[in-house]
Amino acid sequence: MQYQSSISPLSIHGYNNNIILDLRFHTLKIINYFNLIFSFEKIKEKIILSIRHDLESLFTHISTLKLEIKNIDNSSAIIAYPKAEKDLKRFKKIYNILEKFKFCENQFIAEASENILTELYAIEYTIRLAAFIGKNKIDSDKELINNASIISINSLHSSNVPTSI
Amino acid sequence: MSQPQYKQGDLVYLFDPIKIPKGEPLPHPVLIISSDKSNSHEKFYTGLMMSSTTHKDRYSFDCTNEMFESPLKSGSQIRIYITVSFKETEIKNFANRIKRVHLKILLNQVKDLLFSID
Repeated sequence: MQYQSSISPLSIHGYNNNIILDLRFHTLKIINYFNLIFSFEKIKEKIILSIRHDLESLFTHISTLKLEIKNIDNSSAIIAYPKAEKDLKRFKKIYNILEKFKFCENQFIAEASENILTELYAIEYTIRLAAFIGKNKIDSDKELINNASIISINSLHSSNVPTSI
Repeated sequence: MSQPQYKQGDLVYLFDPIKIPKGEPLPHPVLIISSDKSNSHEKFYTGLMMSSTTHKDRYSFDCTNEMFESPLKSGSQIRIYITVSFKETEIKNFANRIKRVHLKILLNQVKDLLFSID
């Protein structure tokens, strides 16, 4: 997760942990599905411990990010907004999975995930206010289009690449 | 004092669609944001309009399926500045319900955007 702020560009590498989180929730789901919770109690405990750890490090990263974007300027906010929007959407999905799973019946997971959600909402809100000053229009798909262009250039077969005459 | 039929966080449709200041009717649902305690007083509610516009501005509170009890139209958002007050008899039907964790955040943004001192 990277937002360009007026202070400095900030990189939150730990945010990629969400993919791992997704995976862990799916594992928990499968364990539940087969009703094997009791025989896999130790695995379950281990997964819950890992989720706790992931949420903890994610919260630390997001809190730092929140401080960084506090005084974000308009031009940086316009760039950062689509990313902030996507991050929030993504965590809403994770929160939803956790909620369906009754937060693994773990108080820490319940509180940490709600705190992360609240902080991500706060980040999106701060960036939104800074981005939409006056009648600024933000192209949320800009990033997607850019990435699609890169992929399509990369997918060209070497024989299709124009050679110098 | 009888209990109100609808609760804070309910998304409802009104018989008479709400109107924008120019007078054009907007047949959009309304999210009840007034507290249950306040709603029980003469069964009078305050709500915010929901729209599925692609237009974004500082008053857009994006809504996704995960935030509600049942799925929404894609691109749904609460328009924070469009508030409407209505009686229970003006409600046509219940449509959906927002989860409390998201409602709490929405209310904080409403307070900040609409009711802060300039």
